[in-house]
Amino acid sequence: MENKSIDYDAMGDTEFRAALRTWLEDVYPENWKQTPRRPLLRIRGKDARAWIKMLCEGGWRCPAWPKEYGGMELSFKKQIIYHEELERIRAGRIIDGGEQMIGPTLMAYGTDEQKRKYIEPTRTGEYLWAQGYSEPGAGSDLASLRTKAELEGDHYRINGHKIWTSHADECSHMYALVRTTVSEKKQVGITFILIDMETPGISVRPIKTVAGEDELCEVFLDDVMVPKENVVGEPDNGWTIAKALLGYERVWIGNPGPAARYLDLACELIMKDETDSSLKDELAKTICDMHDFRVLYETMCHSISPDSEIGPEFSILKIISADMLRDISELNARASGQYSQLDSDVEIDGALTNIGWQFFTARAQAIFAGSNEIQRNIVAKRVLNL
Amino acid sequence: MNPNSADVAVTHMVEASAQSILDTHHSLGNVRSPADKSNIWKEFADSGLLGLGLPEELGGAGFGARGYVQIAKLFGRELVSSPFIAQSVLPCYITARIDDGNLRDELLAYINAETKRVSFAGTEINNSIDPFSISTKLTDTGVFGEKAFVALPASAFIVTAQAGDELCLAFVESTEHGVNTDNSQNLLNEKVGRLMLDGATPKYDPLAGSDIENIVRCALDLGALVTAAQLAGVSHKAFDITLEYLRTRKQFNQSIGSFQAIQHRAVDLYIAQQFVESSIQRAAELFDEDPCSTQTQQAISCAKARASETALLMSKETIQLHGAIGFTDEADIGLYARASLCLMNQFGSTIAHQRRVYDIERARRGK
Repeated sequence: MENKSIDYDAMGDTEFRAALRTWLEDVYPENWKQTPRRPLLRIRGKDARAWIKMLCEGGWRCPAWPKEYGGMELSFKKQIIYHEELERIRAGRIIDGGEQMIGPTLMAYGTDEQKRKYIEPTRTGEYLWAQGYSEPGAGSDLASLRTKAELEGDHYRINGHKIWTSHADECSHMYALVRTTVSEKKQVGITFILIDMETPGISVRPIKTVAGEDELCEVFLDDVMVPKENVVGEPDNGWTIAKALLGYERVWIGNPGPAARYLDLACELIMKDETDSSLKDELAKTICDMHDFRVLYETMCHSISPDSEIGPEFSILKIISADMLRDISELNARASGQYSQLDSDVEIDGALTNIGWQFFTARAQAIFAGSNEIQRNIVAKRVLNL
Repeated sequence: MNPNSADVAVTHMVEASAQSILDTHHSLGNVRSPADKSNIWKEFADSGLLGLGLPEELGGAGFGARGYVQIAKLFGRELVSSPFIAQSVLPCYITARIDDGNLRDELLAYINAETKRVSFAGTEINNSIDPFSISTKLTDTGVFGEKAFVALPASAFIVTAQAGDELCLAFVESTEHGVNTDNSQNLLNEKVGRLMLDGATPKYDPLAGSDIENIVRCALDLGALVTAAQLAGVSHKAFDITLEYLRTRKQFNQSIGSFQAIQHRAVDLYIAQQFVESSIQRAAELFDEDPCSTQTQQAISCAKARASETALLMSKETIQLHGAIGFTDEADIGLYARASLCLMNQFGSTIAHQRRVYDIERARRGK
């Protein structure tokens, strides 16, 4: 499956935006769009693979990857446009660890054999990747992880327990952090390793969430034998590799899209003549917040130059995005009146929604990928020098 | 949308010139108690700082919103108390946009004068951001009505009034029959007061028509934006002072900034400040592109509401983070709260601006 050859570099930003917009409007399926009923809709499993295939065929896959790996190699400016247009069409989100984490990681640290073996199937969506980082005893304090990997000949024998692993039951592979050496400094002795989910000894148990979904999983590893050539970079040096890619995650994870979908629902519920004026005033404030969040996001993104690192100040975007989801989900709950008690989709004055779903789903943003408390610690120490 | 480098260079020069005047003639004592600040105004006049918004052919620097935002931030950081917006920024904006003639000549003379001043008087006691929500009327026998919180002293006023269905601008001198003012002291030790008009005769034919209406609308928005920038400067400085305090003040044998409860609050203030800065910058860029567009109005209202709310947040948090010393007159930190309260509702309250944004968004969504 080839990435259709389009010369993006020759296009101006406006032309690029128009081309992507036209394509999305032509092909993007209605039932994968985020709506007031499912403002944070995720496309997963079979659908995720189908969407990746469509992107490949349309020539829109892997916007940040270099061309030599079949990516679009877009300028950062065009990458922003790319994400803006996906948001505009209200595309469902996919957790694409392959594109965002594994591809770039292997390009930077992988062996030639690893690049050959993994990058292309990841691009085409044949391989979907789960992230095996958190453990029951290692959440915010991730470096205290204890899943053990012991070298036995050509293989590592892995024993342990990963948790909060999104979509693990639908993924073909997992990139994981495992403990290869116990040392005084807990960040040392962690190894970054690639695991085929078909390997004997792996069992996956979905976890039902407070929103009623089963997108999180536990992964149990019992004497799982993984070839030692699956280690990325040097053994014991996985912490550095895991951290290297956090910068761009900070940018994309903090985008205003999710909060904007919640605001759409708030506007549906509140923008009516008969609504109580205090709710309207609260919505008015929220619209201002959304406006300013978009401006701040654009301002920070445009400040990124090709050679500069993404600094710790970008953590604020994730904090803001989560806080806004929290606030708007609460506003929606208040504005829905008695309907908030129903455990189902409901139609409120013509707006199809699900108050519980949007409320509970909004919780996740402040917890995953470094809780808001951890993000505030980072900003306090590394930006404010406190 | 990027300012060209010549504009940026001019703005930097003006900023440096203003800074050096302030270094010599301004101190925080001016905020603590009433002081004679006429020498600062005179220096501003001599350095051309009062005519920045006039085009170059009228002796100005062609300043738009972006330039004024930089100067206003400086004034905010330094807690400058001067009626700069009402007596320089807005008179310049209006003067630059009206037809030439006797009125414009007179306004130009006022703008560049060292002592006599002209005040823009567009606000009434209802503090509305809608230029039409005023009770002041122009009739055959003169101007009748009352303007509120007008910058004083002033020898003349640019008054907004309704003449039938139209909005008009009337130039009224303070010595004219039927013109009275009263005086109050605001928290920055400036004089403000009511301008009571009881059949005052405008010195020249009042200006009216759709162009004038647009000029007034945009002038009010520019006033809101520059006020927001001044508030942003106030917040910024208060935050910097507080951060330094958190790094140096020790309790329990460690800097209080090492405590997580303090750190997280400081981060929230940092986030609030980042919001303010980018919101104001965007609004200024849009204003310079097209001051009348709906997008500009939305951006300015967002910027003003956010700057006011952030200034309030910053006021209470920076005092609290200082502890008991923050409650004293001796510590400077309380002065920034004074400035915040003084400025926050000028050119429209937070809720008024938020409601305008709501109305624009509702129309955009066709609801």
